[in-house]
Formats: sequence, structure tokens, C-alpha cells
Amino acid sequence: MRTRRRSDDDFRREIDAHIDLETDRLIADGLDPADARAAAKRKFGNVAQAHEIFYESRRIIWLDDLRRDSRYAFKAFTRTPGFMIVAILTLALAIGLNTAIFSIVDGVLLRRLPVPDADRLVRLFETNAEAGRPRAGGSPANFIDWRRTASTIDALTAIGDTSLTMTGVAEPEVIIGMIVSREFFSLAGATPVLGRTFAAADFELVANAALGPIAIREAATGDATVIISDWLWRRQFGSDPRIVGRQILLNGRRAAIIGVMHRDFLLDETRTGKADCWLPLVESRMATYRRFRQFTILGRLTAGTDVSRAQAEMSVIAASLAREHPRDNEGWGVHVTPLHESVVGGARGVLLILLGCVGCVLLIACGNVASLLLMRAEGRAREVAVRMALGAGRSRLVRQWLTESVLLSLLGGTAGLAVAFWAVPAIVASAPPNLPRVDEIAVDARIFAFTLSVSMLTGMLCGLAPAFAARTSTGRVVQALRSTGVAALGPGGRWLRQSLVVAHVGLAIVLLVAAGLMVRTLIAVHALDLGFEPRNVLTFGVDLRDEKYRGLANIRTFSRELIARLEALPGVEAAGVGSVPLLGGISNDFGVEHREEPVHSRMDVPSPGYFLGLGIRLRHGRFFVDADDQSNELVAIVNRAFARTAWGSDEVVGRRLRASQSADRWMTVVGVVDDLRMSDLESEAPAVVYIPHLQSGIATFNNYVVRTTGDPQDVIPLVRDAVRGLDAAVAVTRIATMEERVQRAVAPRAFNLLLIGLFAMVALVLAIVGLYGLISEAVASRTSEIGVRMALGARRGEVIRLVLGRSLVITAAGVLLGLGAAAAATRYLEGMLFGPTPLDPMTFAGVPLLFGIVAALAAVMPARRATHVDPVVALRCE
Amino acid sequence: MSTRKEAREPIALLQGTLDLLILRTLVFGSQHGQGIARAIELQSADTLLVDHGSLYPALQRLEARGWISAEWGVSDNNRKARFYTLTGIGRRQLVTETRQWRRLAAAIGGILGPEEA
Repeated sequence: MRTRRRSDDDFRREIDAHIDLETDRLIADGLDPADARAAAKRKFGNVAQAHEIFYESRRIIWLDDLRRDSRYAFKAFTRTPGFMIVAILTLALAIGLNTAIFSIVDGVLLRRLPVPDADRLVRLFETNAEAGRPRAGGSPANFIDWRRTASTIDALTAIGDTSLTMTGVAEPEVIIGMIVSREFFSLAGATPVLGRTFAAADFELVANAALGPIAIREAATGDATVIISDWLWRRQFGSDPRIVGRQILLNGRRAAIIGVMHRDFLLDETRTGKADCWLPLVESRMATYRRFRQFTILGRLTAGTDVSRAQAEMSVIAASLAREHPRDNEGWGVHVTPLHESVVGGARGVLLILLGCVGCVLLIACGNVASLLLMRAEGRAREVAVRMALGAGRSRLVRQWLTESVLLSLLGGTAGLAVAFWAVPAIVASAPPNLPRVDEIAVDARIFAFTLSVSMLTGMLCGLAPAFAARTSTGRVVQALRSTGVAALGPGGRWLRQSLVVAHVGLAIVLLVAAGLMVRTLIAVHALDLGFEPRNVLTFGVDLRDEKYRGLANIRTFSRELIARLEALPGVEAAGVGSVPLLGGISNDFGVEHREEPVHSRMDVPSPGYFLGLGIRLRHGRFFVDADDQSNELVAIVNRAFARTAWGSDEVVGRRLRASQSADRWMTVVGVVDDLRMSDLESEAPAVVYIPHLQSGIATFNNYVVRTTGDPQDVIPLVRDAVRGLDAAVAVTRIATMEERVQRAVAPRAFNLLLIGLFAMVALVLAIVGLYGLISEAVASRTSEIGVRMALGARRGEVIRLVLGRSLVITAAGVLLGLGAAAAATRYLEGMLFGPTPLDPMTFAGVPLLFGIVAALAAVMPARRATHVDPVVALRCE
Repeated sequence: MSTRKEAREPIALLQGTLDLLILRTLVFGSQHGQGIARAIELQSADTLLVDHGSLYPALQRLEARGWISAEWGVSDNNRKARFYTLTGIGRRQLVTETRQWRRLAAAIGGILGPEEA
């Protein structure tokens, strides 16, 4: 049973009362008042001790001590604000950066996907290694069979995508549609914020099938049903609350909006971008398509199974399907993988490396603060001695120091949160487009908890340094009390500081090497010859889905007229139609004279202005002209890669080739152009055959390329007008300047460099600061020694050598250590490099050189101070 | 307890004994700290000299355990003092402890044998 807490005052009154009573008694016994009181007090015994016992009996001692230590620490800090500011800033920077990177790692890698039962969700791929398609989508027919036979996976869902031209609204545009099967909304656990999800009947509507990726011939009656995204609802319909039931035109067909999806619905990523609307998958119209492998298939593991069991079952099912449908499915297997893995797997490597790098920065910061604390401890030798003389145990002192450093770190951590709040959006904004789950990155309670724990750990780590190095033996204490010149830290402290600096330098070198490799990678990427001139080039596309553009002839007419209009615009130098570089293209087989096998190569169908528009370089022969049309000889242009593959040389003007499917249409080569990078920046430029767009019987493109004299952005409104002038119902889409596209392609590399470079710079600064501190301290503590030597005739060079000698050894040790660690560690960077190898000699030689120069600069000031010591002054103060 | 010359050790040993004596003293009615000290000295015919101050840790302990309760009151000569009273539990505890103590004393007496003349 607990009695009510008594206050100290209450107890004091009780003791006073006791003594009074005893005094009265003794007076009654015959003593005089003064003697009586003295005797009473004597009889009581040690009042102070009684107080102490009472006091201690009702308190939690360590909490009390903590409070007292904290208050003491605060006062100590405010007395030396310089130290406090430097330490807190250092910690804020390091902890802040760590928090920022951890937020990203948490949001992308660690958090569960925002759907119910996220850890049981899997994704199924069709695979056919021989055909070079290890991860293909699923086909509708296969999907239906899987769903029917699989027992380890339920809620199988197929997701496809398509692009739709939306008209009947203020601004026609091309939007991205997500086609989903029945189970999608329950799998995703989402309900619309307005309206409803799809009913069973919607999955049978012909109108819906007509909007899908597979063309159907039936006439559609009634409206298609579509759910739109929150963003589309805002930007096209002004968040109209009466949107449900509204009719729009998609690809020229009537569609009714039956619902609006929630704004936080995150399962909206398609292969081409975020979905603007959802459509039902009409399986009945696709059930026979077994080779159209364009659907993303998701499922949920049934209770009690795991991925390997599901994989085993699906492999069996795939094998039996291959037997039943040999023409379509032979050689095709199924791969089951957890959804989480397929979403984030690609980013994991890079993110973990970034986390490692920023962790190094934190270690260096810890070391710096530990050094500062060590220095401070030296200055408090007297205080330590006095406290020990008064009876403080060593553990008590250690507790005090730990409290100080943890307090410091918590303050630093709080400031670091502010840094993180600023840094996370900045990093996310510059993140490359291939970083998954960017929307889920946030600084929230989990991140706070992380920051808190990191701060406390940091504090304890830093605080251990002075605790470890302090000398608390009685002899030293006495000495400290007697004189003022003895350091509280013995050789232990000095050694600790020096090894800290070695570690700093080593870590900084590792980060600098990593950054150096990133720099070289970026330079290598930028130095790639694109094969065309990206500056001042605008690209865009049109969507010609309307009936009147059926057939190549109609499209060609449209193109020709549009190009004429574009070239007539002011500020336009050249315009043409053709595929956009860096985005990929189509390929075909081409037969070549005197060669058995056809050459498999890319194909493009440009107009004459295309080559000028992109600035493609001509090697031999000529570009296309308007006369290269149906009425004249069939011609083609090839690039050097094709020429060399097919004929072994560049000079191939006049040779003939044909597309394999057009057996008798031989084309004569009239020009050879330089290679350009068709699909992505870093792969080898492929072989390409160019066929004039007026002569092509195979395909045509709806991409346009415009070279401008000035800023391409200025031309955009003129382009829109030109298109609208031809046909108001045609939407202009995929507008971007070529430079933007190149930037986007380089973005991932640039992002890596940005972050690692930042960390390396911070590490460098911290390491140099630590080095500078060490050298300064060496000079300061040996001032008298230097004075003596100079008085005895030592020259400046000798003094400098004396002072810097040790620091040189330390720096060199650190650099060597760092290079060794870097050599071991850079192999993990392999995936991030393009150009240099992980053990790139230039980087490994250049970084120590750079560091040496910076370190030398840092050493200049203390060295000068050393040589300017006045021997007389130095000798006097002893 | 004991004379002041003794070190702290014996006191620690006799902590339980002090509790017992306090409880016994309070059987006769409520009393304040000084009164309890006096009573012990008196009844032991001054053999046991109590450091009055060392009484209080014992009193606090007993109060925390709920064997005694305390209240501010006024003494005979009109001084304010804190009076301690035995509680029901304390009374039962006293009986138990007394019995144990007598058994212990008898056992030790048996070993030591009768007092030599």
C-alpha cells in the first residue's frame, strides 16, 4: 500500500517538532534551555543524513540525476556557444541527410504497397528465354485459363493499357486508359469517391470492348462505361460534382463517366504513365487471343501458400497449356514473383548504396563531434578533478558526459529534421522518372522515430570518446588540482583523436572515389555521340484515330499538309515526320543482294525534312526529296551500321535492298547517314533503314520533328494552331523538346552523381575540418617546445617538419586506408557505372592528389602560426 | 541502535528489531517520534540508546508498508507533532514478529546455556 507522497518540508517540520519536544523534556529534567537544545540535537544524531535517507527513499534517483545533468549540460553549452553551434550544425547536416535518404528508402523499399494484403500479392509474367522475352505480359486467353485452373493464386487480375483520344470536352487530349478485369477493384481495395465501380454487365458491353487494344468489328450500341481519375476530373471537368453520367467521346465513340477514383489511389501506373481513366476488360471479345502478351497479370496467394509453391503450380499449368496449344504457347513458361519485388527491385541497389554513402557521412560527423568533445574535456580538467575530489565516481562522470553528448545530438537531430523536411522534396523533385513509388515518400512518424534513434545512438557514440579517454586515477586528480597545465586526457585521448582523423580521411576518400567514378560516368554519357543535334528541336505527335484517317494514303495527305504548314511558320527551319530518337522504334527484316540471310534492322519512315530537322549527318549520297514518292523509283537511305553489316563498307550508294515481306519491291540506296541512338542513350546505335514516307507501304508514323531558330517552347502554340487549322478534332500530344528528352535519359546518372557528390563534398569538408583541428591543436600544445627549439636555433623548415610530420603520417595512413577500402567497395557500384571500371586508375590516382592539395591548404595556416611563434613569449608562459 | 560508538553494521542487522520495538511501543496508543524514542529508552532501562534520527527511516518503512499510519496532531505540551498509530495489519504483524523473536531468543539461549555465576 502506498501512502501519499510527503514533501520534504513536511519531514523537516516533523524533525523540528521532534527536537523541540526533546528540548522541552530536557528542560523539564532540569537543563537550561541552550544546553537542552544542544543535547536534544546530539541525541537526534545526524539530521542531514536523516534528510538524505528520507529524500532518497521517495525518489527515483536516476531520473533526478538526469534532470540535474541536463540542466548542467545546458549551462555548460551556453557558456561556450561556438562549440555548441559547430557541433549542432555538423550533426544537423549529417542526421538530416541520413533522415532524408532513409525517407526515400523507407517510402520506396520498406513500406508495404498501399493495397490490402500487400505481402501476398504476386505478379505473373510469361517467359520465353529463347525468343528473348524473359518477362513478357500475359495474353487474355492464357489469363483466362490460369484463372480457371490455378489453386494457389486467387483474385487473378489482368491489367492492360491503351491510349484514347478524348473529345467532346473543352480541350481535346490524348489520355491513358487502364483496362482492368473483374477482380481489380477488390484486389486494389479501392472505392470511387463518386459514382460506382464496374458492374457485371459492364464487363460484357461491346462499347467497352471497342475501346480496348484489340480492334473489333461489331457495331457498338449504347455508351461505354468509364471511371476517371481524380486528376482528370480536376483538370478537364473542373471538379464538377455532377460529373457522374456525363458523356464524352473516346476515340470517337460515346462513353459515359460512371465514377471518379480517389485522389490517393496509387495503383494507377501503366507502362506509358499514370492512368487517366479505367475501362472494363471485356474478356469475351479477347478470349481467343493467346499471342497478344500485353497484359500485366496480378494475383493474390491463397492462405498457406508461398511463392515457390505458386511458381511450381504455374509452371505445371504453363506446360500443359503449351501442350494443348503448341502453336501459340510452345516454349512459353510462367514466372511468379512477389509484386513488391517487381515494383521496387530495380531501385534497390542504388538506394542501398546511397544509404551506405550517407551512413559514412554520419560516421564522419560523429567522429568530428567526438573530437570536439575530447578537446572540450581537456579544457575541463580542473572541473573533473574537483568533482572527483568531492566523491563523484567515475561512472557518475561518464553519465554526465553521455548526457551532454546525447543532449547535443538530440538538438542536432531536431535541426536535422528541418534539413530533411527541406531536402526530401528537393531530392524527389530531381529524382529520375524510373524511381518507383515516388508518391509514397514522406517524412512522417516512422521517420521521426528513425531520426530520434539515430540521434541517441550518435550521442552515445560521441560521448563514449571523452569517457573512454578520461584519466580519473587519484594521482592525476591531485596533479590537476595543483597545477593548471595538465591535460585531463592522457595519451589515450591523443591517440583516439588521431585515429579518428585517420578514419575520417579514409571514409572521405571512399566517398570521393565513388563521386569521382560518378563524375566520369556522367562525362562519358554526355560525351556520347547522339548522331543528331538535340538543341532547338521540338517533337510532338498527333492522334489520328478518326474514321477519315483510315488508310495510309489519308494519313500521308495529312502529314504532307501539316509539314507544309509547319515549315511556313516563322522561326521554323525544317520540319518532318518520323520516329523520335531515344524512344525506340520498329524493326524489320531486309533482304540484300548477294546475301543469303536477311538483315534484321530498325526501320524508320521519315519525310525529307526529318533529317534536316534532327540534324542527322549525311555521309554519302543525298537525303530524300519530295520527288521520292509513289510515282518514282523506290529508294532508301541506310545508316553506316546497316551498311557495314550488310555490305561491309560505307560506300553503298546504288546498292539494292528490299523489305522481306515485299518480295519484289527493290529499293535503291541513295544515301548513307551517321548512326543515331534510337532506343536509349547508352546502347550501341542499331542498324537503321530509312524509307520515304511517301513510298512506304508498311507503316507510317505520327511523330513530328521541328527545328527552330530560337527556343522551341515559343513555337508550341503556333504548332497547335497549325494542327487545329487542319482538323480541330485532332489532338496534339507527346510534346517535348529534344533536349528535354536527352535530359530525361541522362537523369538517372545525374541523380546518382548529385547525391553521391553531395555526400562526398560534405565528407571532404568534415574530414578537412578534423584535420585542421588536429594540426592546430598540435601546434598549440607544443608552443613552448617550438619556442625552445627556435631559441636554440632551429630553422623554420625544421619547425614545420616537426609540427606537420605527425599529421602527414596520419593523413597518409588515412588516404591509404581509404584507397584500400574503396578498392574493395567500388565493385558494388558496378551497376551504376558507365564508362569507367570500378577500379578506374584515373579516379584512384586523382582523388588522393586532390585530397592532398586540399589538406595541404588546410595545413598552411597552423604551420604559419607555428613558425611565427615568438620564442621569448613561448618560453615565458610555462 | 546501540551506543554511538558502534559502526553502522550492527544497526543494519537489527533493523527488523527496531521495527518490532516501534510496533510494540505503539500498542499502548498513538505516539510521536520523540515519544517512541523515549519509551524505548525507558522500557529497556536505558540499555538501548536510540539515535533518535535513525528511528525515522524505520518509521518511514513501516508507514510505506501500511503497518502504521500517521497524522499531524498536538502533543501534551501544545506542540505540533506527527502521531503514529498501529493499523490492523500492523497489529497482526506485531503478533507474528513477537512470536518469531521469542523463538529465536529461546533457541539462542539454549545454545549459549545458562548464565554463568
